[in-house]
Amino acid sequence: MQTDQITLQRAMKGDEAAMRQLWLRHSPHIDAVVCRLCGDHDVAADIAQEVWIQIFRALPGYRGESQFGTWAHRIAVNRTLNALRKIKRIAKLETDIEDDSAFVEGDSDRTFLAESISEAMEKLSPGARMVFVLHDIEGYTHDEIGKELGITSGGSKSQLFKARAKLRRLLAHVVDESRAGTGISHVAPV
Amino acid sequence: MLPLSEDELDLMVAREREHGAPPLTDWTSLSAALRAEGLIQHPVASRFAARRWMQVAAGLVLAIGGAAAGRVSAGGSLLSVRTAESESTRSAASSSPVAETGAANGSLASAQAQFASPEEAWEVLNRAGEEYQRASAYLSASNSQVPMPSGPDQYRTRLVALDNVMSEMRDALKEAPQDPVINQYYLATVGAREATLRQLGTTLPASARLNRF
Repeated sequence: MQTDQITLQRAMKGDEAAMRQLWLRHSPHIDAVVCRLCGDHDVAADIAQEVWIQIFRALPGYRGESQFGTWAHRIAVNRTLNALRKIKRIAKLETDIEDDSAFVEGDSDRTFLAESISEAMEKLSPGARMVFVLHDIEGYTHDEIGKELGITSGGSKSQLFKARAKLRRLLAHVVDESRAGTGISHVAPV
Repeated sequence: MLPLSEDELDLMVAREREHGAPPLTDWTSLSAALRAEGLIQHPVASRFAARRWMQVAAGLVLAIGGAAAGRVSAGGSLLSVRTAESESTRSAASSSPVAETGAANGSLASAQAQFASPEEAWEVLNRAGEEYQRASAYLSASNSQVPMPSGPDQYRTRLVALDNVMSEMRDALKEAPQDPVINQYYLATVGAREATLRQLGTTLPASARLNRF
């Protein structure tokens, strides 16, 4: 997504219309990553505002080495992780990541069937969700995830494996229904 | 029930990657927070309103610009200068939003209440500009008593101030190229700057050449 240079320059000078334009253009994807990482809409809503303030605060330092969307995405991930750390969620997450027992399913999980992958992700433990989102959706490497979350690369791989296994099971019925005749194109959320 | 295959999950992930989310916040609350942080600048008009020194400087440019230019030549009676000053000040007040309240006694202020159309307002605005030019020309030919800078350094200080005003005006014109008030301020500042440069030239030794200030 090419962001108009003039819009960026105007936004750097604090032009509200230009800033709004950037927000309108990029918020669907920026807010989506915040939402996925948080796994809780209310928490995500609070953090999204902080994220956008941070993006605009950092904007004068944007040098255009990468696409604005990519640059803003990185800020969104970092800011979200920091915010989650601040509210003590990461502390639990980091313990979970090194602790395989975090993957043990509760009774409700055994009967839960997700309607979409985003719904299924909410059923992952915070640590597994973070690793899955960062690796599979955001494209981070295991080394990068390790640095971001303060875990080992191996811990990240292990958590990803478990997250994917759980998602495959939680979403089985979605594909089963499509296998029954409606076609795989129906599996994705609309 | 069989779990999804790895490929089927990858397909869903790929689609999820492209899938946006509805905004988690609204612009009203976000812009309020950004404004509180000082990250959103005020609109042009209020930005200038907030910068009182800019308005005063621009008003002074209009009022004393002609008088400053008049310092270049000698002669003229005190009475005529005072008359011209008051004329110039009134003219400046008429064309300046800074002095809108002060313009209540001027002819332009009374005309403002009678504008029947934008065209008529433009006509009055242009006439005010012409009056300003006329007053400046008069002052150029008849100065004597107005206290003026005594040396090159004071002219340089004024030039720096005028350049700052011009820079701000240029930025404003990029955003509002049709704004008559900004246009007038800008043109008046350009005129005052040229007059000041001429004056500065007269204070330098004959052998000196003005390349920069």
